[in-house]
Amino acid sequence: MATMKQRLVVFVAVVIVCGAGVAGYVRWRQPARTPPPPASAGPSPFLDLQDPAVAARIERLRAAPHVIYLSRRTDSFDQVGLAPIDHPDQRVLLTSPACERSYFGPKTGLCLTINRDTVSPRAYAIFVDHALQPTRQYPLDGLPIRARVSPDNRWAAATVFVSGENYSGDFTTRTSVFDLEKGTVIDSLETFTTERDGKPYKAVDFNFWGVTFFASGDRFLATLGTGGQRLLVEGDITRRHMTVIGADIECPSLSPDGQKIVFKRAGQVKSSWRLWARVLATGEEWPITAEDRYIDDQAEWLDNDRVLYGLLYGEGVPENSLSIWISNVSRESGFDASVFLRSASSPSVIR
Amino acid sequence: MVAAILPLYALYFLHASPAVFGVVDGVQQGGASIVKLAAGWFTDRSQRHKPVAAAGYLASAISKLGLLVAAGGAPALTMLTVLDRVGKGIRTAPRDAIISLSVPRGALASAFGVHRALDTVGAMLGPLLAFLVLRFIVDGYDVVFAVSFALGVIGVAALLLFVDTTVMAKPVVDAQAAASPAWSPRFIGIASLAAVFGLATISDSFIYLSLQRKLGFATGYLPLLFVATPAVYLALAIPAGRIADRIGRTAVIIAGYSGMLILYFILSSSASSVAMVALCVLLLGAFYAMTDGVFAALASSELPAARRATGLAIVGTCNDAGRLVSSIVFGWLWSRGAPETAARMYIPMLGVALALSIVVTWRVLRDNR
Repeated sequence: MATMKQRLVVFVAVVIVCGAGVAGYVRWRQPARTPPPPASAGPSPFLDLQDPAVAARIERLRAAPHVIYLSRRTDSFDQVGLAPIDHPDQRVLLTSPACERSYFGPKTGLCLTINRDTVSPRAYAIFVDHALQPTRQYPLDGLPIRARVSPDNRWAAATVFVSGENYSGDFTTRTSVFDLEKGTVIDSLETFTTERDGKPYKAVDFNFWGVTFFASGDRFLATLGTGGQRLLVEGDITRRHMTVIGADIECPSLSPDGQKIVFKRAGQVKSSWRLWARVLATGEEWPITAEDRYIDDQAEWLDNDRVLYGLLYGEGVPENSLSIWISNVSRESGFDASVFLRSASSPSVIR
Repeated sequence: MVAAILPLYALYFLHASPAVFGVVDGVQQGGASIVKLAAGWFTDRSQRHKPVAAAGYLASAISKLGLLVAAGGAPALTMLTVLDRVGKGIRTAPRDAIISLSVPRGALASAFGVHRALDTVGAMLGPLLAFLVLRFIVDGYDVVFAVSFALGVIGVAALLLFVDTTVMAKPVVDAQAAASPAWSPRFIGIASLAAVFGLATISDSFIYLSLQRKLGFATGYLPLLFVATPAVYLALAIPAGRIADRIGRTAVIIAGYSGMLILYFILSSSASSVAMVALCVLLLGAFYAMTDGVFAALASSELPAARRATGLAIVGTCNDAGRLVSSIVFGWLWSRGAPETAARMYIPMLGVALALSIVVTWRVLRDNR
């Protein structure tokens, strides 16, 4: 056995080699991995609505009908963008909180965000004003998946996955409803009563998601998932009551005139859907899209004839292949979907 | 560090159900057991405690190097996590055997107390160091792995260079001892207790998750759980070991599990005050201080030197196996109801385990201090 002195020398050598190794590694990685300084990339791509000059410029865009969306480009992932309906290519990116999901009414925006800086990632529903500045924020218990604000700006709804991460396996969702006038929250639609065929309807596996509000009042439509079924429910917030009015209907979206819905119906391939339309008064239904694809989120009506929807089109880098598509709704128009806005999701139409 | 974050990551990021998480957690806890047994057996057979322990530490260090090189990818990540766990499995038994064979029988629990306390200091400094690295180096996860690897290598060097195994008690070469039955009833009693207690123990991860649910939105307190519990453990490990050496190891172990029983009552109640949670943290830290090292000391005292590593591995494996089943059952119970109802089911289980331990202490281990 070596003497204590010899062993100490060996140990110190090991420590020095290890320290030098780490230091060398840190130096070596620096040039390759540090992103280029923002200064060389020119002015920030994001327009800050708090800047009066920017606000004036954006005000012109806002005067015309436009779409507010979330960017899915790598350089601006989850940032809010704005695009004129007639010229979607003239889109601009705005300084905003990073949103997993968002929905914008004319006055109030709802941004569902995840704060990943803390030990336990925490989701929040953040309400933003005209300048995209946060006004109110509520913690959420899961992964945000759906956001809606009622056309009259009175109500908002947010859905999260409490467990499970997609619709194909076991999952639990929770849909909270916000009263924007009183500032109160209804934690879960599961606290409402539900009826089906005139009788009370209740099961432990009830999950609600995909709320869409009627133009005024406190009525809404939503999806009820239970025992593998996807049911369409019509709800009344004041009465805290819901009625099942249709089956095999997922993620409804009400047309501005309140006559029709566009919804998702599962395709043949796992985790794929097609978009369908339904006339609420008659129950008449027809498909709008022809392919089994991953359709993201709820559709959004551009006007009473056309819808926008997020579609994941398999090819290319994942974040770039999620785009907003546009399709006519009427049965006569056939399957005429085309890309509206690339690398974008969560469209909200401001008319 | 990863272990501390895993439960939250799984539930809130991957959105796994509690039942799935129970299986993952259980496999993580129990997976290294087979390796542990083999390493223990090999250690006793070869009487090469130090090289085997060093190999275990080295395997974990290499897994960090792998993380650095692999740069993401779920399969690689899984493999490297397994390698890290395998390393832990290899080193535990020979290391505990070295500790127990280097001190007189009357100081076993104190010695384990010192080891566990220092081990915890490292476990607390690790995340702190990781946090500092991430604070100063943008996206410095790879640097964390590099530092972790370097520290691992330094640790192995320290073990090989400075741990003097010549002072260890030598196995007695004795025809009579060799002919005696392999495992004494006293040892079998201890191993059985380890298994039964394992069955009745709710895993840390589930305790943290239950507490997190109790605290609800006040999640600012959550990181404190991860710091406060080891802090309590650290503070109490050495005193608990000393008391165990003086008044009796089984008494201290029984006291530790009794504290755990109180914790179960709190978990199963609907109480949710911060004070309650603080008490839980205190009880959990004390539980580890009073059981982990002390159990190893108790088992060591009933094992001949020639079979020390194997015996310690068996006791560890019995406990791990119990905990594996416990994690799966708890996750299943939770997913069928609430964590409160699941915790309620564990109260009678731990009660039975405690009663059994008193009987075993009284009938089998009466003269073991």
